[in-house]
Amino acid sequence: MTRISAERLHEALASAAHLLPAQGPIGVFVHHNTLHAFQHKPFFAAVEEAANIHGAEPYLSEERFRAELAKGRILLQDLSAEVECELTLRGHERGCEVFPGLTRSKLWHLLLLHEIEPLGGPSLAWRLTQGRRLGRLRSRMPQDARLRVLADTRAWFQRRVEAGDDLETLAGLVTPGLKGKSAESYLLEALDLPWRRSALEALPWRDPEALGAACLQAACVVAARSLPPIPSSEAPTRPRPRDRILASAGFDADALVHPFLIPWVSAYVDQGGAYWPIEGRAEGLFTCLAKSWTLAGSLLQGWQRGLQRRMETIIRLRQTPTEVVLSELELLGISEEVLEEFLAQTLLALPGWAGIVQVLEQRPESAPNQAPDLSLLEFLALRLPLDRFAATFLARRNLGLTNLRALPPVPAQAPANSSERAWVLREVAELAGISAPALRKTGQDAVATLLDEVVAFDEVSRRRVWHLAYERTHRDEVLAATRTHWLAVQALNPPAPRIQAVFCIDEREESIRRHLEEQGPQFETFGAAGFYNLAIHYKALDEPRTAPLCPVAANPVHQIHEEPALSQEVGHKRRRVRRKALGRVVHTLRVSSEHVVGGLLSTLGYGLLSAFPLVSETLFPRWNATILGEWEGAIGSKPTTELTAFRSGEAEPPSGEFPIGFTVGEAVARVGSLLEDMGLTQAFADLVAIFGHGSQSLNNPHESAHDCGACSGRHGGPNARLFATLANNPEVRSGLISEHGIEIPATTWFVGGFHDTCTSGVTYFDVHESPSSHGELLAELRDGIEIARTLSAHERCRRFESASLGLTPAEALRHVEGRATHLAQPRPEYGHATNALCLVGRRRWSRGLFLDRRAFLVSYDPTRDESLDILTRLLTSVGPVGAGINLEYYFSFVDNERYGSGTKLPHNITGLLGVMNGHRSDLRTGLPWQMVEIHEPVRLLTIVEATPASLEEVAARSPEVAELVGGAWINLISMHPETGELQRYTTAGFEPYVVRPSQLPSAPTSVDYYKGERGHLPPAQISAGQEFAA
Amino acid sequence: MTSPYLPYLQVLAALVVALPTLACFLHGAGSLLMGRPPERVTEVLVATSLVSSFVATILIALGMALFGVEQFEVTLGTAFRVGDYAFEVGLLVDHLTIPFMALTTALLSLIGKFSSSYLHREPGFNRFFFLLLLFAVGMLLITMAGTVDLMFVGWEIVGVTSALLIGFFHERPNPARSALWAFGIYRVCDVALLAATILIHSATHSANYSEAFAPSAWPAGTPHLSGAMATSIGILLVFAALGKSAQVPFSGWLPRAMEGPTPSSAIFYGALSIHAGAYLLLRNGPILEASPIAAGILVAIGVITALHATFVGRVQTDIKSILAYASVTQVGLILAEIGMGLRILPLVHLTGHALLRTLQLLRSPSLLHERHKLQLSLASELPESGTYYEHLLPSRLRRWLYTMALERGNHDVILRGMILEPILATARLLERAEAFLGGSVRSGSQIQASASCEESPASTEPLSDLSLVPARSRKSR
Repeated sequence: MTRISAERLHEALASAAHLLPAQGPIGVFVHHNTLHAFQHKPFFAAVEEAANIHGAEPYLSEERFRAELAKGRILLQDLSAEVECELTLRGHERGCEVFPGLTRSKLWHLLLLHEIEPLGGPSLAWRLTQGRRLGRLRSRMPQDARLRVLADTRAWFQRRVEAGDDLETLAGLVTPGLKGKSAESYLLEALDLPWRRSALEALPWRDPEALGAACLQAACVVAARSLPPIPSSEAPTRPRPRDRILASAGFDADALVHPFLIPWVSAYVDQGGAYWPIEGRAEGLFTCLAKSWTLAGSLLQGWQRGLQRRMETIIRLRQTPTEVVLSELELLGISEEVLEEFLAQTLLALPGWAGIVQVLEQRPESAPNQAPDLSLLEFLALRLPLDRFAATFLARRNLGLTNLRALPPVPAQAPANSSERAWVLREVAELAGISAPALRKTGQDAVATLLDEVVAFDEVSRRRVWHLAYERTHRDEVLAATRTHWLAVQALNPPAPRIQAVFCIDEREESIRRHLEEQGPQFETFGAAGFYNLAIHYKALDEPRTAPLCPVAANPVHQIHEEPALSQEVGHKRRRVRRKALGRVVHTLRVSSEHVVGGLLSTLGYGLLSAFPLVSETLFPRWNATILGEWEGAIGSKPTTELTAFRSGEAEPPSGEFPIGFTVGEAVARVGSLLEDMGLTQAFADLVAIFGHGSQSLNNPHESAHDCGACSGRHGGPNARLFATLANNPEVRSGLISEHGIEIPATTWFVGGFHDTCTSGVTYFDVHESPSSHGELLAELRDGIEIARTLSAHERCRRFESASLGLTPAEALRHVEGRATHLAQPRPEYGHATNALCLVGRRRWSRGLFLDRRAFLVSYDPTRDESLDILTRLLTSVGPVGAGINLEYYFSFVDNERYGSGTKLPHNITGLLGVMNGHRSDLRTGLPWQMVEIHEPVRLLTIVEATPASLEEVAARSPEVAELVGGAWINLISMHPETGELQRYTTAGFEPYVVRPSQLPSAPTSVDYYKGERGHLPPAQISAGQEFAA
Repeated sequence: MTSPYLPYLQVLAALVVALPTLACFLHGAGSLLMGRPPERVTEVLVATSLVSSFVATILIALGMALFGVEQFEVTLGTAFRVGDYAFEVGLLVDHLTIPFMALTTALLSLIGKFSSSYLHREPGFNRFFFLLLLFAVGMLLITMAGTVDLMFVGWEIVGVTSALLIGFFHERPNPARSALWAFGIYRVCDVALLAATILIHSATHSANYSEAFAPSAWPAGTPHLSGAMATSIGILLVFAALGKSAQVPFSGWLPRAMEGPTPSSAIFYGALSIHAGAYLLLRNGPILEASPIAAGILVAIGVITALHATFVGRVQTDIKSILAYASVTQVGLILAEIGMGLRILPLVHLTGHALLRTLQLLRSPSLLHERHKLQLSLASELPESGTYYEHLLPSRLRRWLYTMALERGNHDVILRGMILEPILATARLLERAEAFLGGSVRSGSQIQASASCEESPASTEPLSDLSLVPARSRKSR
C-alpha cells in the first residue's frame, strides 16, 4: 500500500466535506438547497445518489403517494402519462409484452397501484407454507384478474381430473412439490382438505378460490425454485471499522466516541452558551483539545485506555493535524482508493457538528460572537484516534480481534432467494391475473423475464414516477388556471390606481396583496426581493453591531445606521441609561440563578415571584405580551429615529470600514434599477408604500427561518424604510430622470413599512415626514392594509388545526397575535410551508387569482426589457433564493429525520449555534417537522412572462439559472408576453404546453372561496376588485 | 383538635388524589378499549382533574387555617394483609403536605395546559398525557401518603413515569439509553428506601407517620427509635433521596434526562421529581434530628453536590444541561439545609426554586430571542463571563478543573467501572457457572446486552436496550 500524501488527503477531505450541511449558526437562518453538493447534477440523479449516501428518502413513500391518488391529489391519467414517459425514457417500445398477455406498461401500473409486501425471513416462510392466505387471493385484487385466475385454474384442474391423474399428481398441482406427509399436512393447513382423491376432485366446486390460490402458490414456488440463483451484488464500500464491527458484532463504536467528543467540540465552538469558556481556546481546536486530554483524570473510560499516551505523544512531538490523520489512516489500513469514502463516512457520522466546524472555518463572519480558530482537518485529527481506540476496544472485547485490519468487511445485501422470488411472483401473478396453468405453461425463461422486469422497476423508480405524476397534476391545475385567467383578464383595462404597494416576493405576502387588491382597483401591488436592491450593513438603534440586510450572495459595501432624531437625543440618552441598568439587573439575576450563592439568593428572593410570569405566560400570552410592551414603554419609549441614508461624497470612511450612507449617485442607481425591475417606471400613483417583512415569535430557536430570505434571515423593514427615504429625495429623483429616464411626479410620495408575517402586524416608518397633502391617502392606505392584514390572518388560520374554522377575521387576528407570544406554541406560523409556485411577470396576469399563499410573486415587465438585462438580473437573484427555500422544504419534508431536524419538542439550544436533540446529540440541521408538516414536496413551478428564446438567452448568460433549470431543480414555464401561450422546458428544450380543459373555480372574494377549508386549495378566480369580461 | 368540619376536609383530601387517579384510569382504559381519544378530550380530562385537585387543595388549606386544624388523617382502608402486616391506605395532611400539594397540583395544571399546545399533533400526545396523569398520582402519593409503604408506591410510580418520559422519543437510541441509565440509578437508590421502610416497620411496628412521630405535628415530632436505629434508617433515607434528587455521585443522569419533551423536563427536573428526595427527608425530619451522623452525611453530600454541580454547570454549553446542573446545585443546598435541621427555610427555598426553574426550562427554547432582547437593552454585547475571579487560579489548575468539569467529575465513568461492571461481571461469572453445572436457561447474551447499554447500537431496534433483548442474537462466549 502506498502512503497517502498530504496533498491527496487535503484534496479528498475537501471533496468529502462538500457533503456536510452548509447551515450556519441558527440565529441567522438562510434557506438553501439541502443537496447543494449535488446541484451540478440533474435533480433526480442527485436526489437518488444523495439518498444512498445519507441513507435518506429520495421521495415520499409509495403509501403516501397512493393515499394522494385516493384523495384525488394525483390523477390516474397523470400517473399513466408519467409511466409512458418513463417507458420512452428507458427506450422501451409501446405495447411490448413482458409475459404472455401482460404489457410492461400494465405491469408497471400494477406495481405502482398495489403494494407488494416486502417479506423475508421467518415471516415469509410462514406465509409460504402456512396460514390462511395460502388458500385466498388478495382481497383488493383487480376483479378481472380474479375472475380470470379462478376460471382458468378451474378449467385446467378439471381437465387434469378428467385426464385421470392419480392422487399424487393432482395434489402436486396444489402443493409446492411436497411429498408424502408434508404434502398432506400442507393440504390440510392450506385448504382444510383431507388427503383423498374425492376431496381434491370436489375442490373446484367446493372452494374455487382456494383452488386458484393454492395452485398459483404451488406454481410460483415451483417456478421460483427452478430459476438460477441471482449472483450476489457488490459489497458496499464501508472502510470504517465502526461499520464493520456494527455489522458483525452489533456494537456501535460511535456510541462510545460521540458522547465524549460532542461536549468537547461544543465547548470549543461555543459562542457564549457556557458561563466558563473553554481553557486554551487560543491554541486552536486541535491543540486545545489534545492538550486537555493529556491531563490526569481525563480519558478514564475503558475504551480510552492508551489514548492519553497517544495524545501526549502528539503534543510532545508537536504533530500537525495532517500528520495525525495520515498516521491514523495508516494504522487503520485505509487505502487511497477508499480514502474519500472513508473521510465522507467518518464526517457524516456526525454531520451537524462536522458541518458547523466547516462553516465556521469557511465563513468565520457567520459566528454570532467570535469565530474560533479551527478547521475540519483538526476535527478529523481529533476524531480518528478516538474512533480507532473505540473500535479496537470493541473488536477485542466482542470479536476477540486485536487487529482492526482483520475485521471482516460489511457483507453485501443478500440477493433475493427463491422463497422471496416466489412471493413476489405470486403477488405479481395475482395482480396481473396470471393463473397457475399460465405460469406452468410458459416455462422458466418467461418467469425469469417477468421477475427481472419487476426488479428493474424498483421502488426508487416507482417513487420517481409517482413524484412526477404528483407534480404533473399540480402543474396541470395551475397552468390551466393561469391560462384561463390570462384569457379572462387580457381585455381588462383597469383604471389608474391611487395607491401602489410593494411587497417582498415571499409567497406569504401573496394573501395580503390579494386582500388589498380585492378592495378595489384603487390598489395596485408589486413584488420585489425584500432587500429592495439595497445591500447594506445595518445597525439598528440599540443594536451593538451591524448585520447584513441582503441576500447571502450579495456583498454589501455600505453601512446604514439608525439614529435618534436630533430633537430626541436627550430623551434617548435617559432611556438608554435606564434600559442599561435594567438589562444589567436582568442579566445578573439570570446568570446568578444558575450558581450556588446567587441561586440561593435568587430562589429565595424572587423564586416565588416567578409564579406570576409562569401563569401569565402560560395562560394569558397575549395579555402578558401587552403588559411587557407597556412596561418597556414606561422605561422609555423608542425615540423617533432617522436613517443615515446619505453621505456627502467627500467624507472618506476610515480604511477597513464601509462608508455610512449612500451618495446621491449610488442611491439613484439602486432606486432606479429596482423600479425598472418591477416595471414601475411610469404611471406612479400618488402614494407608493413599500413593505419589508420579518417574523417574531417566542420559544422558537428557528425564529430566523421565518424572516426575510432576501435579507439573509433578518427583518427587512429597514430596507423598505431606506428605499422610501431615498426615493423621496429630490436630488435622487432628478438623478432618476437623467440616469434612468424615470420621472417620478412631484405628487408621488413613498412610505416605508414593515409586515410581521407571524402577528400579521403592520407598522409604518417616518409617516410624520409625509406632506400634509397626502394625509387622506395615507389614511386610505392604512384602512386598506388594516382590512388586508386582518383577512390575511384569517386566511392563515384556516391552516392551523388548533384554530377553529369559524373564527371571524378579528378573532383570527387575535389568534395569530397569541401564537406569536405563546411560549407553548411550536408553530407560531407555518413559514414557507406549501410553497410551490413562482410567477415572474406583470401582476395583471395573476391579480384576481387565488394562489393560496403558495406563490412567489415577482413583478417584471417584459415589454420594457428588450436587452433582457432585467430578466437576467431577476432570475439570477430570485431563482436561487426561491429554489433554495423550496428545496430546503422539499428535503426537510421528504426525510425529516435525515434532512430535517425532526420534532422540535426535545430541541436543546447549544453553544448559541444550533439545536441538539436532548442531550449530547448531533447538531440538527434543516427544518423541524412542525415547520414543514403541511408542505407539499414539489419543485418550484416557475412561470416567467418571457418568450422561450428570451429564457434560453438568460440561461446562456447566467450559469446559476442554467444550473437550476438545466438540472431540473426548478420547473420552468414560459408564458408568452403577448399571446399568453405556455411552453414548458424539458430536456429537449421548450415544448408547447397544452392545458387540460377544466373549469376554473371562481368566487366573489377570497374569503368566500376558502371558508371552511383546511387543506390546499386549487387556484380560483376572485372577482372582487376588478371587473371581468362576462 | 377535632373540628366538626374535619370530615369535609378528609373528603377533599381524598379527592385530591382520587381525581387524577380516576382521570388516569379513565384515560388509560379508554385509550386501550376505544382507541386514542381526540386531543381535545385528553386535554379536558387532564385539565379538569388537575385543576379540581388544585382547587380542593386550596380549600383544604383554607379550611385548616380557618378551623385551626394542624394535621389530619384520612383512612381509606387496608389494601392487603399478610400475617401481622397490613398495607394501610391512608393520607396525612399537615403543614408540610399542603405547600407540596399546592405546588404539585398547580404546576401540573399549568404544564398540562402548556403541553396541550406544545405537543399538539405529536404522535405521542396521548402517551404523554397518560404519563403526566400517572406522574401526578405518584407525586400526590409521595406527598400525601400517611404511611411509608404508600409513599413507596408513589415513589416508584414517579420513577417509572420519569424513565418513560425520558425515553419518550423511543425511536432514537439515545433517549432509550438515557432512560435506562436514569431508571438504573433510581432502582439502586430505591433499594435503600425499601430497606428503610422495613427497618421503620420493625422498629416502630407502624409505618404510619402520625404514629411513628407522635405526639406533635410536623415539623416537630419525636421518633420512637433507638439512636443506632435512627442512624441506620436516616442513612438509608439519605441514600434513597440521592437518586431522585440527582445528588453526587448520581447527578449524571439529570442532564441525560433532558431527552424528553421540554415541558416534561421542566415539571420533572425543574420542579417536582427532583425535589422528591428533599420531601422525603423533610417528612422524616424527626429521624434525621435523632441521628447527627445521618444529618451530617446529608449536609456533606449536599454541599459537595452544590459545589460539584456549580462547577460542572459552568462549562455546559447547552441550555438544558446548564439548567439541569443549576437545579442540582440548589437541590444540594436544600438538602444541606435539611441536614442542618432547618425546616421552613428549605421549604421556601424549594418552592421558589421549583417555580423559577420551571419557568426557565419552559423558556429555554427562547434563549436566542431573550439574549437578543438583552443585547438591545444593554445596547452592547453581553458582558463576558467566567473571566473574573476564576482568573485568580493558576492556569494549569484552571485547565484541569475545566477538564474535570466538562467530564462531569467522571462520576458516571466511576459508577460504571466500579459498580456496574463488577456486578455484571459477577453475573456473567455466575451464569457461566450455572451453565457449567448444567441447565442454563437464559442465554448469556441477555446479560451482556443489558450490560452494554452504552454502546449497544440498536439503531434498528432501539428498544432492545430497555427490554434486555439483544439487538442481534449473539452467541454467549
